[in-house]
Amino acid sequence: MTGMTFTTTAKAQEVKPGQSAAPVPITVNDRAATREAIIKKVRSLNATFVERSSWGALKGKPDMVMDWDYTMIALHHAGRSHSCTPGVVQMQEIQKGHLSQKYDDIGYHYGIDCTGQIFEGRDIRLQGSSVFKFNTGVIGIVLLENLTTPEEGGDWVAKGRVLLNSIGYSTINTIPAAQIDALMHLIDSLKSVFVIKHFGGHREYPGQASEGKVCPGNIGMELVRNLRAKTRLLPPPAPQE
Amino acid sequence: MKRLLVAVVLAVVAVLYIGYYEALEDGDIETVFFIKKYPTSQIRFYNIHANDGEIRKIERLTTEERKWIIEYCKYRLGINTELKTQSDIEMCRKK
Repeated sequence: MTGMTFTTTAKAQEVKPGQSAAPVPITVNDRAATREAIIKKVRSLNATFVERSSWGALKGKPDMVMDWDYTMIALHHAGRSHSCTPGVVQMQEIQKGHLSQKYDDIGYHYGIDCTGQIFEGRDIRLQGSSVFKFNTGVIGIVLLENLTTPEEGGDWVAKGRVLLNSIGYSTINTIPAAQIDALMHLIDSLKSVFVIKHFGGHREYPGQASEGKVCPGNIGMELVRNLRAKTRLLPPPAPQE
Repeated sequence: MKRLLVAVVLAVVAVLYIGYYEALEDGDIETVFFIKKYPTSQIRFYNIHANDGEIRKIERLTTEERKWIIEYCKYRLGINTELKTQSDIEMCRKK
């Protein structure tokens, strides 16, 4: 034992002399141990896992909404201004940005950089903020680069990228193999502790396309479809009427 | 002198009628400019729902958050509200 504490609940029972006690079911409630189990599982698969304290995460706000019993994973890309730079710096910048926009903490549960390092984002015991109005039961994972194709977004940034592409300057990224491997390891680890049924790109989730979401970009969506075939996970659930 | 006067008047009108807020698009922050529905010297506004989070519960709003929503709703959307119900928050989240 490593000195961890567990909360248990069990009904008291009367035992008469000469009788043996009936087995007592014990409910173990230790979400912290589950968080730890995910980290251990990821590391056992030879992936690098960087905990919040190791990348200098700021403390989240108190009294955040809890969540558990996750059944879905949403894949994100970091956005069109991002590229394959060191993950620590990107996680710090994203958290700073999210806090400046009145989030309680970084919105994603995990981030993966281009070298395949997995970063812990918002504590898995807390509800994420990565899929607008659809965060309950969803684990948010962000790939720390831009995975859109040039025309996506349809604004002046997209027009500029299309122009650059037409003169031979490619702005299209490919997802590094190390990052895909790390994502697979993380999904496997999450499946080992939660009953994950759905895996989808951010924009596939109910209500997201109508909000104009392009995340995780066309390149990200190709990866989503490939991983769904490999993991046999289902697409996100259909919107409730 | 005339040009200076025109420039000053334009600057004042711009300050009174142009505002902005920031919206989250994944890890990016985008600045959104808009024409205010009423004149005010306040330029920066907060739409605390211009992101991928949940709609805040009315009972969990801080005084500061209430103020941000009411200001945004009035000057961006032209809606005066005292923010009494959850549907008021839903109405004021619009971009």
